[in-house]
Amino acid sequence: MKNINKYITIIGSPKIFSYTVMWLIVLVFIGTVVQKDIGLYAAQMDYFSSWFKWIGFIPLPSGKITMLVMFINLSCYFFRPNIFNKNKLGITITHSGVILMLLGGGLTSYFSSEGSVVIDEGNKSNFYENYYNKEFAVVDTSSPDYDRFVIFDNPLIKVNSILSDKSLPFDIEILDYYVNCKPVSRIYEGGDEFKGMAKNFFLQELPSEKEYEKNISGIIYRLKNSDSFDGIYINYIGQPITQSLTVDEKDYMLLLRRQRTYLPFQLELIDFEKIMHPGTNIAKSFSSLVNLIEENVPRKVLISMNEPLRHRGYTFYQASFIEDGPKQTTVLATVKNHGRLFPYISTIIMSIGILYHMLLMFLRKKKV
Amino acid sequence: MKKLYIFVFILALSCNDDKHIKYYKIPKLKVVNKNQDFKIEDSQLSFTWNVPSNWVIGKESSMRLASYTIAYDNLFADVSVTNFSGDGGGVEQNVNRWRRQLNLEPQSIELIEKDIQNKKSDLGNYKFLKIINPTNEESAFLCSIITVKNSTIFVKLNATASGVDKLENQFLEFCSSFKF
Repeated sequence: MKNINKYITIIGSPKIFSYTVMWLIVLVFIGTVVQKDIGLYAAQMDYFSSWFKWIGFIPLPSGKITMLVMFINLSCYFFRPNIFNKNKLGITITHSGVILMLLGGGLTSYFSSEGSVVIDEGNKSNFYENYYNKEFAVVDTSSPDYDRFVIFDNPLIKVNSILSDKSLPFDIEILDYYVNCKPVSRIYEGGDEFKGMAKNFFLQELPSEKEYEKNISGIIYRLKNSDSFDGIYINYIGQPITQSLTVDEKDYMLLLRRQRTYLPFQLELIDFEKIMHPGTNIAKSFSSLVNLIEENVPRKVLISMNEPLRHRGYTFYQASFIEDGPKQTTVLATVKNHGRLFPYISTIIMSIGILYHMLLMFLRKKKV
Repeated sequence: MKKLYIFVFILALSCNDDKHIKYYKIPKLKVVNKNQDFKIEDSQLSFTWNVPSNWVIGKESSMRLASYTIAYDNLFADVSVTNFSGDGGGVEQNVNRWRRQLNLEPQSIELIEKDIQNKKSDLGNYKFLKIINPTNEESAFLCSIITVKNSTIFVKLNATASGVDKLENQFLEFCSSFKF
């Protein structure tokens, strides 16, 4: 027991907290400077969302591990004796606030997602597409009434990964994956092993865009165990020609697309309105009147540039629009963040703790 | 307190979600077949068309009757077919909307009419127009406006300026194939 207490004292040393705070300041500074060159998303991934930032072969702690160390360090405080004593209560409350904030950060990091919902006027949508993550979809289109989807998530889309599922009569081996690429037509038609679009096109890798969401990701893959359709194929985001095949008398479509998240409700765009700056083609403001349909009960909501719709943990911001034909299409930026309220609550708790402690110090000083 | 912390720590470690394969099924969107008949808006009449062999069915959209994709050079052209009741906003409004999409100034109906060519299909005469912005050749349109009964069919091809030149004959062949 003595040993455990000794370790807790070492791990919970305030010095560790000071060093982690100083290191976080360094990371925030470097991250802010480099994001100008590598883009916001890449900087966030490199310096904050990863465990280590490798400088050559030297691993430096990134934001994630720094904050984990900070969390463990602060947690050790709660193993100390008499923390709920009147004199220590302020510090205990403040520690709780900081821990809650770090927990909120962890929740946001692991469970939040963001993307966009695109809806044509008069139509409904019940999903949003992630800006960054991709998924590989195998769609069985054989049924006249519905399409059956098998979705392989972003972590599975990597070189040498084999995508297989018992419901599919074929396997997919990923030969190459490009974060950003473009299709280029072949001068000579590809050999017999190249199938579909890969016969006439190949994917040329490009440097990643600064704005990560603008990347056109692509994969080169080999289809196995499908008999006549075995071969090498390509797929990229927004590929206009869908890769389709028939195996065991079933029709399939293969798609690489942005990761979709289905909502527990529907949004129907009733009317999209935009006001232009006089004499220009620049939008001054735009808004979407939508029906929020839940369990077949519609409710009208207006989403405008500064008034997002918040519902069941999702927030929909008016982000953009598309004009194609007489009807218009709205683009709503969508965020789901389980840790949204944590910063507010933890800041209030920390303020209460600090105020209590300061008041206590003031009264003590007055007594002396 | 120690026990509580150890419990929370073990709970956090057990929260690893390894299920990276999802399954679901959703009702089919309207599927466009090459030989499908389409109802004219506000009418019992239906019409169809012939699709050039190198055109592929494009992205489905509820706004469009049909979409096609055409591969040319290293690029793809997008063709949309839409149908609206009445005049669908009229020639002047629609052409000027397309012009604005290409960052061109709107024109009067008299000037627009000068650029319009009249073509023929089994549905009747239709108006054909090519819109190119000489200062931005990355996007250009071939447009057809077909008036049938009390409704208007819009066909639009979006490609680069050189692309619309290359694909003009195929587009006209497609528009002329519209029939009852």
